[in-house]
Amino acid sequence: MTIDLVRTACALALAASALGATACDSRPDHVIARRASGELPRTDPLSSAWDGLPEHEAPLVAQNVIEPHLTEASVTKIRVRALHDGRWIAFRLEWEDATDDHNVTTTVFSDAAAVQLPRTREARPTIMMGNDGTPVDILFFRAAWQTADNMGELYPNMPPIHHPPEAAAEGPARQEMERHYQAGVGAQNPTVVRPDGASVLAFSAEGYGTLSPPEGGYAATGRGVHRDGRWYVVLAREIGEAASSPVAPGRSVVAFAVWNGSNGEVGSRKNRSEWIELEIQGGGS
Amino acid sequence: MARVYNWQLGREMDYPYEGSRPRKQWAGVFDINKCIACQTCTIACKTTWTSGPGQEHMFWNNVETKPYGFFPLGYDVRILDALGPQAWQGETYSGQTIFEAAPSGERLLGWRPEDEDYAHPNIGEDEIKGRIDRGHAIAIPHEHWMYYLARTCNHCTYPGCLAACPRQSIYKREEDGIVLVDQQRCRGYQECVRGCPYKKVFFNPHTGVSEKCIGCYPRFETGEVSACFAACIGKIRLQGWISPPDQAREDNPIDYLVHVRKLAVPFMPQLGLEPNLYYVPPIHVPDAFLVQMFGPNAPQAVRTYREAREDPVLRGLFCLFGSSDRVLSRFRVDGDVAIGYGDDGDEVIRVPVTEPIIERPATDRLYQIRRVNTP
Ligand code: SF4
Ligand code: SF4
Repeated sequence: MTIDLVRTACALALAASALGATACDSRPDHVIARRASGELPRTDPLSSAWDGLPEHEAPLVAQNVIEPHLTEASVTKIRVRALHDGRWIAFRLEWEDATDDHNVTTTVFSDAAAVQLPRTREARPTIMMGNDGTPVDILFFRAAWQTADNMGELYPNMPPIHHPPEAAAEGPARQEMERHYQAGVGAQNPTVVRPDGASVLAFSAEGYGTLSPPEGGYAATGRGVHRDGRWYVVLAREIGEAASSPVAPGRSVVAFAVWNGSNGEVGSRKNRSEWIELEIQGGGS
Repeated sequence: MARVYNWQLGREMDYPYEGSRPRKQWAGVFDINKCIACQTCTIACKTTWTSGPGQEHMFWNNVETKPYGFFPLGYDVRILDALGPQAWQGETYSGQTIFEAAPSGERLLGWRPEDEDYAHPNIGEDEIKGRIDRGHAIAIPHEHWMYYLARTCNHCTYPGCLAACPRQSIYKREEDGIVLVDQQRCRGYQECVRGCPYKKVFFNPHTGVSEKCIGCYPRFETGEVSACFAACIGKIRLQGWISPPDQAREDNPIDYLVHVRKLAVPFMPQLGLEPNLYYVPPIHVPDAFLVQMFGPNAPQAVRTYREAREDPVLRGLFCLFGSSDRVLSRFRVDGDVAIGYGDDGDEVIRVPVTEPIIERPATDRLYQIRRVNTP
């Protein structure tokens, strides 16, 4: 109890500090998810519900095992808080990034973050996105996915262009045309056709290069806010079947990755953590 | 890295995957000397495939003026510069390919264009090598030169785009060698954009995935040539199938031009991709430039081309360029007639090698009027 109080005080001090740079010796050495007393802030990374929670600080390293590599880590640490309500679990990630990169061109990529969990609580897949027969679940946030009008922002002076789909009346006819004129839409690419324009998507993987929509699926949501040179991102998912879920109350592991878009980071060019112990507490906070 | 045989280099080379040639390989020959840069090909492609949102900057087919035209900006000089000076020993390449020169932690030597590099698709258009000074205009051969370079994806035997994708979202079709980006698998990492030295994969900022020339496979599957080939006003293009050199057939028009007569040469073969568009090189360009752009056989190809007029088979075969919308997989020259056959062996086209001359009297006796030549 005493220790918890110290942690809480420390986290409060951090939350109060604009830069959040104060060192805090009594941070927990693993990620702790408390049970939320009120509503779970599934899409609000700045909700007061995050205040005072234990915060783990995880070191990140450059991914330099799988080609292509990131040669040097651009984000070296990430702070993580977590909450659950018995049905959903939410991770609040915070890291330093001077630029808010939320559009993608060939010049710059989108800032992004991911939370990786084993498929089942006991499984210990490799950190490199799991392996054959031992899958991982991945929650993936991309800032570009929450940008309403990427093209308008990127090319504000583009003259109006009449694209063929616009010839069709709004509704099914237009949608049909859009499938023809946007191959990613026609192919139902999960990163293109996102449910309600979601900014956090649920994936699974069995090894690097295999990121795909999870079999059976699990619901995911979240949102990111870039403020004063830092990203605050919440990534949330359904807990699912308590007996097998890696995020039901008990102990499991979790890993994180962060991409700095303006540093050309995308795909395997990322900053990543190791597996970190994840403690999901059952009682109220 | 695996070891694969690249016949354009005359040697084996490193490649991230085992070599496996498709059953048949999409290919084309462009006679550069006939291109007039009318861009009909570019527009044929644009209106067929890339008129949707996020495709505004895409030209799967483009025509640039060398030496100062590029799309995207500086694509060829930048990779040549990154690779540094390299050498050929005769027809064998002794330098490094982009796979062999891969920096540590990378699958190949690549670079990503800036957004602005796509903003000037016609930069350098019609510019010649240098300023015309006194006397230059009348001296033959001309001191200064330029040529048009029509380009599409090369549907390479060893594609850089495919090698670079960490998700294996790019694949080469077994039935025709066409290289495609799986629009469902792609996650928009743009490693292919970085990896293709010809910069023929494009990122679509609207959908967030990459797209590339699809070789008009829906047409090709029915035996029709790609849209840019069909539309070519200058009739510079001939489409068909290329065989590996040890299986070259004399009656296959592409094999004949590339392997038998060595008249059509690949673009920047030294990069190691074994590209499958072949060029009859421009006749008025200095050898050093030709070799850098089209490999060591280019100067000899120019000499063969200069004599093609005296060669009954070549003369006939050049008449089949742009003569039909069908893919020609076999040809024959019979006296003054060149005949092309389709995939199923049927005769597709028959053209006279010498156009008949018809003399018309100055007076039309039927209508009782004089004919007037309107220039
Ligand atoms: S030209 Fe470029 S895009 Fe086309 S197959 Fe070759 S490497 Fe891929
Ligand atoms: S249509 Fe033919 S002649 Fe015209 S630019 Fe294209 S390749 Fe050249």
